[in-house]
Amino acid sequence: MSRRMSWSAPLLVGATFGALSTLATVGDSDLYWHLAQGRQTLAEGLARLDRFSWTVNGAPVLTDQWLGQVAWYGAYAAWGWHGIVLLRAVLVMAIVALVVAAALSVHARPFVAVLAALPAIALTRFSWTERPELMGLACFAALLLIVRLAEERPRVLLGAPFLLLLWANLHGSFALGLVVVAIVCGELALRRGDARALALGVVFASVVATLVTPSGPAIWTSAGGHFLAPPRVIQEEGVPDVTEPYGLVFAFVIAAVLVTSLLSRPAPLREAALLIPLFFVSLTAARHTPFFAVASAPYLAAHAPDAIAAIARRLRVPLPSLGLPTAVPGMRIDLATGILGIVAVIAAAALARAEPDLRSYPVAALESLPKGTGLLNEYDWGGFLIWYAPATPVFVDGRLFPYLPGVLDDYRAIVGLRPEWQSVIARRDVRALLLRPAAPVAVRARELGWRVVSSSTGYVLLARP
Amino acid sequence: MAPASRALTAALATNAYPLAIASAVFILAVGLPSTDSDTYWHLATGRWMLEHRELLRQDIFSSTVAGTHFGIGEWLGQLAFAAAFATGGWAGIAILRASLIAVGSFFLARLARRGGTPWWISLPMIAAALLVSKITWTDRPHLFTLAFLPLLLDLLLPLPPGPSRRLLALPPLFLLWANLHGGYLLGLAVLAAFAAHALIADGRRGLPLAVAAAAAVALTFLNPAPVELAGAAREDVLHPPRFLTEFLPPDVLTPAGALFAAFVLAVVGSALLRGGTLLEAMLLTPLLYLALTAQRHMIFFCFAAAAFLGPRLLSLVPAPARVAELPARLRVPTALALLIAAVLSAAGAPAVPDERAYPKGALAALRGGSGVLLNEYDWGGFLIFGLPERPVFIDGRYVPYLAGVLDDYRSLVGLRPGWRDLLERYKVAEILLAPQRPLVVALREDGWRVGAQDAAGKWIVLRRP
Repeated sequence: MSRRMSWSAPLLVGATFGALSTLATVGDSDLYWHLAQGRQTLAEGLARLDRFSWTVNGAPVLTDQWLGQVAWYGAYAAWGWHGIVLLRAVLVMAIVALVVAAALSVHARPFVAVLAALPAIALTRFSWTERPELMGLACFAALLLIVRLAEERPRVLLGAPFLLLLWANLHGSFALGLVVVAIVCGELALRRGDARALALGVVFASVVATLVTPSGPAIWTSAGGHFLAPPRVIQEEGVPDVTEPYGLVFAFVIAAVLVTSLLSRPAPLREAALLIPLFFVSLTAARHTPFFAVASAPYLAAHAPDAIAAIARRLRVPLPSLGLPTAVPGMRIDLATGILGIVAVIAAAALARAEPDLRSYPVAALESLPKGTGLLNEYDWGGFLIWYAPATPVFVDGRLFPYLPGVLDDYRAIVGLRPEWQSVIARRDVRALLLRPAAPVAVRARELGWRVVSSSTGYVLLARP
Repeated sequence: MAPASRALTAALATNAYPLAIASAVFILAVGLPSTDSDTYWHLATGRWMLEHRELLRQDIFSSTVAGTHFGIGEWLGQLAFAAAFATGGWAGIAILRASLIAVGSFFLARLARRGGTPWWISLPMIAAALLVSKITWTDRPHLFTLAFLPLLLDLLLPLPPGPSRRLLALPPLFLLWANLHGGYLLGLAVLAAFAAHALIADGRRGLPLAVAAAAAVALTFLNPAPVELAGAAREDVLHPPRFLTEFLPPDVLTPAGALFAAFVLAVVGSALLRGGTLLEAMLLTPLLYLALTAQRHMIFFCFAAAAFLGPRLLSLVPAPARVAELPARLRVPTALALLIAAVLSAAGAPAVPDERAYPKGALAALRGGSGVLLNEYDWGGFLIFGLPERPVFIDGRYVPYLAGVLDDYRSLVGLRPGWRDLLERYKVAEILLAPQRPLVVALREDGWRVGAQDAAGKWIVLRRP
């Protein structure tokens, strides 16, 4: 990399946020089935068939996140819950450092780059979960840095296929990465005739790289499904809501880009070609909102100072001049910063309260759970049960796709007390319910004499009479 | 030719295109039957005020909040709809609706033609904006805002710095608007943006607009409940009632949402490549935030964006080699022909509403019943209008029910814990609900008698045993 840019500031900011992320408790509901699947993969080879439920037992399951699951389980196996906290912190550090570095690559003043990256960092905070998705976000941030660096040196794009090879085995969001590569290479081929072969080669190699997964071409079905038809029943797949905290940050990013684009100098076509599709993707679902924020950080770093200056001129407010820094720290300082940053993150992970936060799960019910088939569980608790009660297979869990459409429809019919609920219970031979007390079927089943095996304010375990 | 006649001819020549658009839109809109559930309670309220020659300040339609204070912020709009109904029945409603949409379309077309935007850019833009607005073509006072906002923009955008006779139109416009619909607050926000911009850009020459804006603000207080209406509008923006479809955030994977996204992406994309103005930034940024809060607000951004997009798109898109333009001598006759067709089309306005979504068949059975009726939320307005002798449990006015009735309604129909106590507390004797509601399922199992039910399974009437 050119010494016009130092990694010290990105690493310093990344380490800061990585260390801060250790303050967040472990508790994502999907973590547990990812861990279970990673454990199964390490012990018995790739988990291609369901082993955790009694409703789709033996049916094919997605393997698109196998490497991510193995990594999470590896971290757990190595250092328990502290390992999970550490891996999450390292990924957060990487994401933040990459976002700041991308911003720094277009504006050499670290202060401006960090300011421009802050909204994106704030928005990624809502994705700091213990799931392969976080690895996907790190890969996306890495690709964006490659794209920015390739503006001056197109050969940097040769790194994209390797990144996509890794990404496609970590998480389904690789599909977005391939779209970004195609857009950037397309624009490059149009702009520079001498780089057409390179651009075509990178796209071809990237497509091939995404097929080098255990799923082969089938991996495209799950990835495409998430982006084109997000399952709205899941909260994070819902439409972005700007009245929620994350939505406010997203709205701020949109407003910042809009105002900057209106008031600063025009940007090149490649900027619009990159930002506009990612903006649309971000509007499709809440979990996609960080993509636009991450992609727009370099644009804001390069152009927002112009926009601010234009506003200041109109308001006749004097602004200090933003000159370039006189000296860029050397590689040794970067290396030292990186080592110190990693050490700080490891230390923070070691000191963190790593035990998962299980307050929203039916922990007290574990002892009373019936063994074998027949339990209908709350959707959000499926992963928890897979991990903590392996002898009781689940009715449904956060993997979602294996349960579509039949099992999920039946789950809704029973839990929502639809007119056919009794017949579905009989057909499925549901013999116990583990649900939130306010679920309509939980209320009704109690009235109809189902036995309360165990209960609290957060759950009720009922057995059929 | 007399001066007045010459002025009319000139105005016609200038506005032939908007007039043709407005006439065509009128023809389309007047043929649509009324469908919205809120239309009914607006009509019932307006009818009561016409009959009693006074404002309706307390609830008279429900059994749950009878006698409590009731918002009167849209009194003039409700009177207008009731008068249209009294004059022409449901056809009168359709004509009023089509007229208001046509007024909005007229000014939208003028906005989209700004800067000499050719028809092949402005027409798709107008069509897209109108398609986005289609979800709000419901027979309610908010149609006045749909008409007035583009009018306001058309009034303000060509304003020269300094005094102008156009400014005199602002206070009476807002006096009227404030009594018709709460959307006048949006108008005030737009006016404030223009006034602030005028002061920033033009200094003292911006004062006349600022003074006119202040007068407009002052006059909006001349309505029966200024603070109440402002409070309700503020709540709609800050805490939109998400249980109502129109208040859900925009979903860009739906047709209307995709068109809205196209506007947003076109604005940001073209601004990235060509830049824009401070006025645009001050106007579009808050309108975009508002649009992202709820899909019913998308249209306001689209209307405003249409005023700026045309010239920028023109600079980006290469003009087709040959684009047929209607010869100048044919434009006015074509517009007049469409205007005449629009007037004639009013005769074909539907004389009955589309009530397929309502339990029309249940009215006879309910008429013979007595006691408290628990009804589906969406059918409350229909019952208020069609079955005034049976007070509703809840209806689309929703605000009076926020103090507890709405929660109780949800607990009842969703069979939450304590539902039986609520059933007794409200002394519910009859229910009219969708058959798949958990409450219906439970009550049928408990032996409540089926009073009537729809063969298609849309509604059911149950009575206490």
